[in-house]
Amino acid sequence: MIGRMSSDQIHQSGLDVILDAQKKLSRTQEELASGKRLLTPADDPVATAQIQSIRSELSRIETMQSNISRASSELAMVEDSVANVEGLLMRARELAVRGANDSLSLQDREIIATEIDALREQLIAAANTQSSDGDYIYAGYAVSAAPYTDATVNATYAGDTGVRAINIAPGLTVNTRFAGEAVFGQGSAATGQLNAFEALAVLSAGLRGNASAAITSLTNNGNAVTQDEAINISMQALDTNLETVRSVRTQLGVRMNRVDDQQALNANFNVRLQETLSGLEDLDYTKAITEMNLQMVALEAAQMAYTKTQSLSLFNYM
Amino acid sequence: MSNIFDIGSSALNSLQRAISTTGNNIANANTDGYSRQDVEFASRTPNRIGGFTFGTGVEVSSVERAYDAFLTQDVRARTSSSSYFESYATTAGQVDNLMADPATSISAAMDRFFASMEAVANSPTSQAERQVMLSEAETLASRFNYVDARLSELAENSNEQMSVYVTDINQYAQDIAQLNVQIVRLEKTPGGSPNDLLDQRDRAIESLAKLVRVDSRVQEDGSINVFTTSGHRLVSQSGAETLRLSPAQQPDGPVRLFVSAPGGADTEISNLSLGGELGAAIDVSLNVIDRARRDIGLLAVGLTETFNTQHEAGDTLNQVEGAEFFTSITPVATASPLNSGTTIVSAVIDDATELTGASYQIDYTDTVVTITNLSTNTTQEINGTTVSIDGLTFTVSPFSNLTDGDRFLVEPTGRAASSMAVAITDTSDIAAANSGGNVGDNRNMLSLINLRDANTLKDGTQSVYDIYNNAVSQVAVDTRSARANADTELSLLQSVTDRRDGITGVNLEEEAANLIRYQQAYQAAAQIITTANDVFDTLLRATSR
Repeated sequence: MIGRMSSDQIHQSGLDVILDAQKKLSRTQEELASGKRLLTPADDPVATAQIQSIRSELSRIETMQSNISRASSELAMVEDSVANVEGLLMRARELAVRGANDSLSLQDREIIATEIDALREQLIAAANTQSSDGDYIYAGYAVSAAPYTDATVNATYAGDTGVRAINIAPGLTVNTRFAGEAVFGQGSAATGQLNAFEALAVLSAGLRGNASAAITSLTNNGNAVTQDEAINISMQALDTNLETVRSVRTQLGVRMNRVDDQQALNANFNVRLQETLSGLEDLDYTKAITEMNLQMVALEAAQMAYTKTQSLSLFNYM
Repeated sequence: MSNIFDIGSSALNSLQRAISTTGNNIANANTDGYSRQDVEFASRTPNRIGGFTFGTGVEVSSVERAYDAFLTQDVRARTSSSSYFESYATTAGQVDNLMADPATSISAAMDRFFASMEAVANSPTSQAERQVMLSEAETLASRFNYVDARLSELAENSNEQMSVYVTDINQYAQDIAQLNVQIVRLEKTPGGSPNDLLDQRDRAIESLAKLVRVDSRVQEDGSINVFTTSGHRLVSQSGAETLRLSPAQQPDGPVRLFVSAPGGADTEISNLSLGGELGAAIDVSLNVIDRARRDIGLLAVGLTETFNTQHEAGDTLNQVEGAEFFTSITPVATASPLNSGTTIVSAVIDDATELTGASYQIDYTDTVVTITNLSTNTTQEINGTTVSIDGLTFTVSPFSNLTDGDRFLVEPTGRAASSMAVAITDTSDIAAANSGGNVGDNRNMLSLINLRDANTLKDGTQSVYDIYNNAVSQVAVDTRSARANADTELSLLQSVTDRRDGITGVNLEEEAANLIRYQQAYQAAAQIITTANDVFDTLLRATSR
C-alpha cells in the first residue's frame, strides 16, 4: 500500500470490504435456497452443456422405457394370440391322426370333419385378431381392414408384409408383430405348399371323402386322391405350419428377452445419469453452510472494523 | 519600523490564504474529482540597507493542485476497460439468464416433441397421438418465437442505450471544448493555473472515457485534444465534433456511427471497437445477442428444412404424399435506410444443411458489388446479378439501379426463429408411413425420429441438439469471460485509482495538522505585529517627553 491515503479512500475501502462480503453471502444464500450449485449457465459453461445433454438424455430414456412397456405388452398380446393358433393347429393335428384310423365309421369321420370346420373358422377369426386400439395385428401395415376373408379352401390375405417396429433405445428397434403370411403361411398358389387354412380344408374334405375340384387341384394336380392320401397330405402340411408357428413363438420369446434386457440397461443408465447430473448441479450443503458461517463472520468483522476506524479523527482533539 | 509591520502582515496575509486553502480542501473532501491544493510560500525580494540584506517577509508564490499526469491517464484507460467489461457482462448476463430460464428451454421442448413422435410411431392410426404431436410441435415453434422475441427486445434496448451514450458523449465533448476555451484564457493571464477548471476538465474526460475509450493530448496553450481509439477527433482547438448514430434498418438491427466536425461532413466510423460503454453495447449486440439469434435461427431453419424433407418423403394417413410440416422460412433481406438507389436484394435457401448461421452484407462501392460474410469477414465480388454461397443464392435486382454507397443486409437465420410455425393443421396430414405404405406403416415416423441424433446441419457435422447446446454454451462462455474480465479490470481500476487518490485526494487528518500548523504560525505572526506595536509605543513614549 502506498504511504498516503485520502479520507475518501479510507471510507471507500472500508465500505468495499463490507459490500464484497455481502455479495458473497448473498450468493451462498441463493445457492442454499435453490439447492443448486449453478444459478446461471455462465457459472460453469462446460457443466451447463453437459447438464443440458443429460437432461435431454434422461427425458429420452423415459420415453424409451414407456416404448418398452408398450413393446412388451404388444409382444405379450401377439404371444397369446400365436399360442392360441398353435393350440388350434395341434388340436387339428390330433384329430387328423384320429381320423386316419381305418376302423372309424363314416359318421365318426363326419363328426371329426365338423370339428375341423369349426377349428378352421376359429383360425380365421384368430388371424383377424384386433389389438386394444383396433389394429388388425396380422395385417402388416394395413391395420384398419380385416386381413383374412374365407374363400372356401384358402383364406384371402388383404394385408401386406409390413412389420411394426418400436424404438427401445436410440437407433435400436424391436419388431413386435408378424405379418399374417409369416404365421399362417402363404399358401400353395405362391409356394406350392398348403397354408394352415388350406390344410384344414383338405383335411375336412379328406375325412368326408368328397374332395372338390378345388381340393384336388391342390393335392394332386386335379387328379382324384384317396381319402388316406388327402389326410396324409394335410397332416404333413399341418406339421410344416406348426413348425412355422413354433418358430414364431421362439422369435417372440427372444424379442421379449431383448426388450427386458434393454429395460434393465436403460434403468441402469438412468441411475448413472442421475448421479452425474446431481454431481454437476447439486449443492454440497455441508460445504455451503460452512462457507456461509465464515462469510457471516467476515461481514461482521468488516462492519465492526469500519465503525471503529471511522470514529478516529484528529479533529476530535482540537 | 514599517518594515516589521510589513513582514508581519505579509505573514498574516499568506497564512490566511493557506488556512483558506486548507479550509477549501476540507470543504471539498467529498467532492468527486477534486484535487487537493497546496499553497507554496516564497520569501519576498529582500532589501539592501547599509551593505546588508534584510528579508521583507513572505508571499504566496502559487497554489498548486496535487496532480500526476501519468496516473490520471492510467485511471482514464482503466475506467474505459472496466466500464466496457462491466457493461458487456451485464447485457451478456441478461442473455445468459434468458437461456437458463426453464420457460425458454428449446431443448426441453424438442425432447417433448420427439417423445410425442414416438407415441405416433407406436400407434400410427391413433388420432389422439397425432394430435399430441401437433400440439407439441406448436409448443416448440412458439418457444422459438418467444426466445427470438426476447432477444430482439434485448437488441432493441441495446440500440436505445447506444443512442443515449452518443448523446452523453456529445455533451461531454461540448463541456470539454468550453472548458478548453476558459482554461486557455486564464492560462494567458498571470497568477498560475486555473486548478478547479482543470479538475472539472479531467472529470469530464474521465466521464467521457467511461462511455468511450479516448486518448488525449494537452496543447501548448493549455487546451486538450481528445480522440477515440479509432483515431477520430472528438475535441480539438476548433471545438467539439458530433457523433451521430444512423437509424438502424430495424429497431433491433445493427447501427452505423458517423462523426462530423462543426459544419463539416459526416465520416463513418467503420471500426466499431470503441471501448467503454458504447463499445460494449455495440460489441455485445453483435457478438452475443445477434449471435445467439443467428444460432437459434439456424436451428429453426435447419429443423424446419430437414424435417420437411423427410416429411415430404412419406405418406399421410390419407395415403397421399406428405406436405410441409413446418412452414418453410425465407431469409430476411433489408436495404439500408441510407440507400439512395431503388435496387433490392433477396435470398433463398438452396440447402439448409450448408448454412453457417452467418449474416451477409452486400455493398455497392465504385461500381463493384461485394458480398461480405459478417461472421468470417470474408468478402467476394458478385459478378452478375446472382451469387450462390453457403447454401444460399443471393439476387441483386435490378442491378442497373444501384447507387454508389448502397448497402444491404441479408439475415438467413438472424430472424428465422421468429417465423418458426407448424404448417399442417389436420392430424391426418402427418406423414408417418413410407411412400406407398399402408395406414399402419410407421417407418417414416421412425426416420423422422432419427433426425434427432443425425448430424444433419452445418455440413453434416452437428445435430439439432448440438446446435442448441453450442448456442447456450457460447453465451455462457462469453458471459463468464466478460465477468472475469470485469472483475480483473475493476480491481486494476481500483488500484490505479487508489494510487492517484493517494496523491490527489484530501486527507482530513493531514488538513487538521495543517490547520494547527498554520494557526500556530498565524498566532506567531500576529505576535510580530504586537511586538512591532510595543516597539513603536516605546519609541513614542521615549520621544514624547
